[in-house]
Amino acid sequence: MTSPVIDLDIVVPVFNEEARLGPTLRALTAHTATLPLSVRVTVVDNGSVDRTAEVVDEAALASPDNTSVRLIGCSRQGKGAAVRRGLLAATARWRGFCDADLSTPPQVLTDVVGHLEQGSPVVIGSRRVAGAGYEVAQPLVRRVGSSTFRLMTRPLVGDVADTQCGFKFFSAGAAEQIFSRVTANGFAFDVEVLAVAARLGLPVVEVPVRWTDQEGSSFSVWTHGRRVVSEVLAVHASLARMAS
Amino acid sequence: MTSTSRGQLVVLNWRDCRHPGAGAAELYCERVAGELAARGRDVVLVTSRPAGTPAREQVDGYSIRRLGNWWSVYPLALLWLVKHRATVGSVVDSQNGVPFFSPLVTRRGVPVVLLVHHVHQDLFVRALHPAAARLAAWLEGPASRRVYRRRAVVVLSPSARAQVRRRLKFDGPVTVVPCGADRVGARLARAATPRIVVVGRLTPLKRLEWLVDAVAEVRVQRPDVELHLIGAGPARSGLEERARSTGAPVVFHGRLSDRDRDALLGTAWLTVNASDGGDWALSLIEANAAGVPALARRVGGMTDAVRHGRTGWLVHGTAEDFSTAMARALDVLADPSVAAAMGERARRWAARFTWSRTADGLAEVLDREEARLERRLAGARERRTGNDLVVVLSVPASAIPADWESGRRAGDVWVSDGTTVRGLLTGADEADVPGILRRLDVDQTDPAVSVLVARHADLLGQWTDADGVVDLAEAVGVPVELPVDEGRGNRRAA
Repeated sequence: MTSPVIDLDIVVPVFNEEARLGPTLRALTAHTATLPLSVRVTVVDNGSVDRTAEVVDEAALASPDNTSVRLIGCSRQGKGAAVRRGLLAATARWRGFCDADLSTPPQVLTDVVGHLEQGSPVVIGSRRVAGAGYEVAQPLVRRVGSSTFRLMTRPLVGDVADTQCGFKFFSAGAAEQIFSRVTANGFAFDVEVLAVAARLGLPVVEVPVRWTDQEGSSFSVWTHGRRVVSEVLAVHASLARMAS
Repeated sequence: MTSTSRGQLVVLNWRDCRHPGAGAAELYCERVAGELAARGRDVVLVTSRPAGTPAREQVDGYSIRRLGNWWSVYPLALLWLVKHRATVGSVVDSQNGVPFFSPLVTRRGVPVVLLVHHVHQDLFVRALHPAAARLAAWLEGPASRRVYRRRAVVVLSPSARAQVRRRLKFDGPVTVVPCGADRVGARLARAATPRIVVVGRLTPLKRLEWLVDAVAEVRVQRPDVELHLIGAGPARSGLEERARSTGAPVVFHGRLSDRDRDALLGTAWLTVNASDGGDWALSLIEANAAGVPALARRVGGMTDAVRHGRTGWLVHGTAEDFSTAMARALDVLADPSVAAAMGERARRWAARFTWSRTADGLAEVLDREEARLERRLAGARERRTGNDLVVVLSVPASAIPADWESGRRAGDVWVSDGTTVRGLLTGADEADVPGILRRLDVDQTDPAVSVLVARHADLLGQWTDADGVVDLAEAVGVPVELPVDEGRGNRRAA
């Protein structure tokens, strides 16, 4: 079977997203339909037990002409593992991933593609650059947590303002270089991606997004805080190995 | 031969079929007990003792031991297990809301499979005093999770598996082993006029009033429509009253003998279920086995039991939506060729659910559990199980060596239909497939080899969907054609 040449591969990692994934894929493909590109959306199922796969089938039936929707699986648990699995299966000129809750509006894709076209190897959504912000103000405990997190990660990622926005795109070369080196599966995954990019000397462009916190977000500062710290430390260690 | 076939296999369930409130859970336990006894296992069903039943009985090749009432059976069954500790070789422990906690008293190395018939968390809140509901919910969730930990769990449908993961938060392996369904002999001639037949106890939870109202409405267009209810139950008088006041053509048959029930079911155009959804709908599958398509709401296990547009239809929404869908379904089925095609698919779908396969599935889980315990007793570390991802690997039979069965991984299900060999691989993804193909000695570059993430229907054994879908929306006033799909039906996403 010969597959047509794909310009843009979008990976969406999912775990039990039967409720949110349908609207996300509709919004995403509605926007990709406006791009003068051939697009492939790859949903990576991270072991869902609900009807996530059936939702992907419905979206695939309704997808616009220039966009195909496919489903693959990842048997290793964790967002990082799923994204890596999806990006290693990608073949397009430009590749990236976005979250299943679509906290980042898909319209940002147009800006992202613009930067990629101009040759930027890494283009990411950011809530902390001029023109960006939160639709809904964040609670204090979350803001304190975020500041601490940024303080810890700054030495790794250089002057990237927002590491955690789930909307990151790469040129084919950058994606291959970065994702063959990334090992984290949990929250520190995004940090490691940018840290590896920094080590490889790849410049990062941040595109402003208006972010909405989605219901059903699984993050809790209290319960996950300690894990985040240990994962970030693990990234430090793995980067040290990469350098040596 | 593993030792599960040596020691006694104990099936624990709070009721048996002699109990007046017996339902599908009791049928499951008894049929599995009978099937496994027929294969030479020494099986005993330990259950409660309703008035007028003997304490000991031999049925169908296995023995029944009855102890205590609906609650005292739990401690008494544990005492029974302690007393017979030396001879108990394996346990199937039924959780009807609350399990028996048998791992607390069985010997190390005795495989215990937790059979979760249904997740009751919501039902407890509705049915019990708040304090009792909290206790019951704790026993069903956190306490069970603690006691059964990494032990194997069996559920009846993919939706039930989702409940066990999400509501009870069990993290051990969960396997879907669906109910069997008894088939009715030859398809009888269906009635000349539109007829809906529903088999089951008449209880308020089933929303049978929706059906009565719907059939009253359908009658405006189709004066010859009839709804036949087979079964007794507390909701009957209310329904009779409702049928009288709305003028709905409903026939109440009460309980019928198996033969009369099958004869009536065989004349149906359609069977329906308006309930909020259990984990499975045995009555719909049994109707399917008689060649009768089903209409149900798109909730819970109904979405697993009914293949939308193939063996029946699923409807979203309110009583009115249900009523509209029922009218349309009868319109569609008025065409004898459509009715024959749908009936044939329904029959094929039901044919994959046999009690023998159910027993195979349960025996397989028991063996796997025993092997796991043996490894652990030998000091081996617990093997990492992948997540719940399951993929379907399809290989043309011509591309696979004749002795392929020896290269299978333990725990995977493989089926060959002569042209294609399909494996249901648990905890594996597409990246693991090259290794599996190498072991099977299959050329990985063969374009006819395919890997797909399993849908819920795949977990129930429906691995190909060559048939097109009969859409209800198109059916009004438009002649319906049966589209024949190229290849994989509506599975387009991979």
